[in-house]
Amino acid sequence: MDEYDYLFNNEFLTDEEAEAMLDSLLDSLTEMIQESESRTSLVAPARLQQFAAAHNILKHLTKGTGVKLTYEMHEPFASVGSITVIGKNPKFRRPDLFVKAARLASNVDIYPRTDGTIQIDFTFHGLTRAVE
Amino acid sequence: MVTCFDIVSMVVEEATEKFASKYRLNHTDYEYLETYCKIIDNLADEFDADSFAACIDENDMTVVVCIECEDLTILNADHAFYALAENSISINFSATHDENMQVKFVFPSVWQSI
Repeated sequence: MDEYDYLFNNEFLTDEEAEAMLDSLLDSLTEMIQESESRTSLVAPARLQQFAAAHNILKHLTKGTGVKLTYEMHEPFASVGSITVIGKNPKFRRPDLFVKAARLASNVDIYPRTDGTIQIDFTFHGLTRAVE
Repeated sequence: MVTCFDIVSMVVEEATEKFASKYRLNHTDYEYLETYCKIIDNLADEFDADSFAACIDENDMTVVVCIECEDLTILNADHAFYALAENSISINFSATHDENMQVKFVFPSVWQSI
């Protein structure tokens, strides 16, 4: 018998039980985030430097191209930041630099918006570190 | 199943005939292009791409390859998308009429002067 067997139901859930189980998962996630957010944390200088470098490279690459570049720090959580590029037709003539900036991010999402523009989100995790 | 290189090789072949009086195909560069196409095939699988398109820009003889997909999410720095982008001359993203997006890669010319 596996040590984690107790986590798995032998019987089928009802719809209500399935929904309650998902609500409870969401509640524990919220608690985890609230706990993590309430801890004292310090900015991680090296990661902040990477965030700023990516922003500055992307600003350079998008200069005069008509796309909008914005950034947000500590949103939605203290340790997260993002850089967003929005434009009709984002074009990068120095793909090597684009890749260098993108590789600094934790993840990159590129998708079309309903208004016919393209949005590129560069998300950075680890901008802060909790003080033990 | 049609691969990216099936389409690219067709347009390269046509262009090679057209340019024949002044330029010839550089086989090493063409092999690189084939490698890029294989990476594009993998990306197309991963991102569930709807279509490929390719053409030659006759002004600068660059090779333009486009893929259409719903979106792209890249979760690690070693992703093949980055290797492909690094070997391109430019990349370009645009929305399509059917709420998808098109990613356009421009690769260096595969021809050299005779």
